[in-house]
Amino acid sequence: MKTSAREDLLEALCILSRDSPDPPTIAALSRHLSKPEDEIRDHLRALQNQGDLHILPGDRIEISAVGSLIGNQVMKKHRVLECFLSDILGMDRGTASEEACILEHDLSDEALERLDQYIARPRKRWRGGNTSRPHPQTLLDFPEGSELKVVSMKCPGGCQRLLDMGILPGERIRLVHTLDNKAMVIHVKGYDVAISPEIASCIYVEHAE
Amino acid sequence: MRLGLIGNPNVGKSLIFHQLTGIGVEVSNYPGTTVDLKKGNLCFKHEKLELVDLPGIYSLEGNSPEEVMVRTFIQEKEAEVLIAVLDATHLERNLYLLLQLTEFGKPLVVVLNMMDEAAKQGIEIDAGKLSAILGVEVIPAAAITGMNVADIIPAALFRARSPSVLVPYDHHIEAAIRSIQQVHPATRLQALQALQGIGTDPEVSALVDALAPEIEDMHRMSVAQIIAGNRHHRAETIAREVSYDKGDVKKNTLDSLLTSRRSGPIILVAVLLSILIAVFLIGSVLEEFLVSIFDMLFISPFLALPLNPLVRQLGLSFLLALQAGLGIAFPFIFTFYLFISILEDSGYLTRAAFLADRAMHRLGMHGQGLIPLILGFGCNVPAIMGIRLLRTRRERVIASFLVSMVPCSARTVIIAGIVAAFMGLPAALSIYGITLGLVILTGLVLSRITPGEQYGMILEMAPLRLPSLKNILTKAWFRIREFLVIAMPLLIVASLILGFLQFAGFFTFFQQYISPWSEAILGLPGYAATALLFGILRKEMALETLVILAGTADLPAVLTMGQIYIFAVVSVLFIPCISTIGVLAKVVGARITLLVSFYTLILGILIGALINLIIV
Repeated sequence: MKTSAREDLLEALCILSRDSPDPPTIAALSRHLSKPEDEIRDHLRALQNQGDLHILPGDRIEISAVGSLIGNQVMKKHRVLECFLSDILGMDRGTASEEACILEHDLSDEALERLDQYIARPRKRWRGGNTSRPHPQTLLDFPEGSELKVVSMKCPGGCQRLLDMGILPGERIRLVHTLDNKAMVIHVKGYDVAISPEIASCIYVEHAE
Repeated sequence: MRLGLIGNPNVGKSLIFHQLTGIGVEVSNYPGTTVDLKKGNLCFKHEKLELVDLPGIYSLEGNSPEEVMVRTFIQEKEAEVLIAVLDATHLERNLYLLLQLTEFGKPLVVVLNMMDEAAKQGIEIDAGKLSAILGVEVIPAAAITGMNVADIIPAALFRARSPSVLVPYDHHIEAAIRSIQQVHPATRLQALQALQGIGTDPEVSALVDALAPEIEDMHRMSVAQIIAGNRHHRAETIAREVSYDKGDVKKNTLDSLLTSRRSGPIILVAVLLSILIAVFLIGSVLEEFLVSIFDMLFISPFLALPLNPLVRQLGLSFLLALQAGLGIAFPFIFTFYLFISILEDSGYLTRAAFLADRAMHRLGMHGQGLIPLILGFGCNVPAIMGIRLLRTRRERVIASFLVSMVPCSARTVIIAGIVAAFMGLPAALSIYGITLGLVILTGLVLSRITPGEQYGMILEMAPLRLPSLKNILTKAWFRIREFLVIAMPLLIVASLILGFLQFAGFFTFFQQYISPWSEAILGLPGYAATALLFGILRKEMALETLVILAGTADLPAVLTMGQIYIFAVVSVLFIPCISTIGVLAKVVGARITLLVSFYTLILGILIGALINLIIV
């Protein structure tokens, strides 16, 4: 069987065993991967021969230490790729997840590690090279009247009030007014909110289509 | 039986409360003005009910004082039934809070307020459908016209139910809720709160510390963000199902003019200046009129009575206190509160706060800090109470210094009474100039040296409305009532003590000691320094005492112009009055209160001495 199929299966097993304490069933696995049970059964048998897992009585599957190692690694690759594609490159989260499903099988461990580091501290990584990639833009970078979409927010001391007012990733907002010091009025969910520049600097946005 | 009114700020809760209880309560247009609980009684079919007006909030899971207070109020089961008030024109945002409230499982009725406003904006809402989704009764109402307000109490008493609507959370959150419930007997609500760091059980906290980072890692979002996102999504879905928006809201050109970068600040300065000058002029004229009537009706007849000296002295002190109190309360404070209520109800106050954000940053605060500063011109006491709305301790400390220095109505009386009267308007305005200059300087310095982090402004802009005359009058009346109830008795007692001390000859005794100092440093005679000291009781009493001790109201006969000016400056800057000190201690603690008093004392003497040096 192909490596990618093996990795997909082990990844799915890891995800399922994390969600519940009992070993996952074949039926649950088939639902998760949306593949027929028979096909999965064949694959499972092959993997049992390789020592990745054991099929227990009652159609439950117990993943072995080796299998779990591989599964978790793939899961991490998926997560990092999905995050990179959606949060940093700005792709739609659903598309990013599908894309990550394909890319995860060919990503080297070193590339994974570097990508992960980059996501954790994007600015620091870019300081050396003079690249054309723009920094993530905040509300401060846009003029009055812009129609924007919130990409992410990082407020020191939490941003509960912003969240409660409906300013959260994915929300469309309009920049109504800005003052000279970039204090601004934004329009969100049908009403106007005034925010200080230091709050605006924590809200990362992009142009809404 | 007890009922609680709950809702976002600006949804007309206070107005409904006012109509149900018949007690006039402030109808506020500034988000979060109702920090204190307001209670009122009403009778329904011979049963006595208590209605509690909870402060307007955005969330039940935040950590602002109001939010914590309301959460505790609901959790401690202090009210049997909750009446949730929603704003029909902003249904989605209001549903967010309602969805949080439903998780508490308390019996509810929902009042869909401002239906008239919504209809005007072309929004139609199917209340029946909303009721079916939420599983509780929904009453469409318009508090302004009184539509359906009478239905609220019967519905709350007989038809309140626990809501059936549920928010579906992200499956990781749901899994975390189940994990918490497995190790610890907790309700869904408690588990959700624990995930957001609310609650004190160490076992649960440890589990949350293990679960939360994993979820946050997977979503690259904080747990609070995910939960808020899920709720907003549900609120949005419900709002879309039950409401129909016929057209876009047209852009308000007046609003853009008021908040634009160019015209906004100019309008703001013009509005504030004209209010101050108007209050000053109207106040002076009215006060003179009131005082002379009072003199004619009470004081002159009293002095004509044959009485023993002690009674005469005390009676005179009492009448003078009454005269001074009324002479400030109605002409100055009431006029000022009328203007402020207009600003507040029209929604301009929030715009003013936004425009002032930049300037206020220089002073170490942000836009919201402007409101207590403006209120301070009326009376420092309610202004200091307003400081509680500021979010960080750093801002509250800075604000407590600055607000205590703002020339309040009582200080205006001194400025108007002696400086404007004897030296003219420019000299009076120069005292304002000196004080405001010192306020700004103090702010600049404090913003550098006060420890703590600065947190920015997040302020909902209240919609622009034409304020109703009735609301403005009620609001101004309730503010002035506070002054009459709290300050007037104090004023009278202090005045009686003063009268007695004078009778007992204490002043001559005190003056002997203070005279050399006062003459050397401030160039003022001993009795003026004594008068200043009594300004601590109430500011305007400094003037009253000066007149009594000088033995004449014609001050230029006994003092030089320079002395009058120095007296006014020092009494304006000098230590806040005793009521302000009391409120300060409650809001920012004893240490800061002492610092404020000490600072203003030194500042007053220093500036007085400086002017003395320059003039002499």
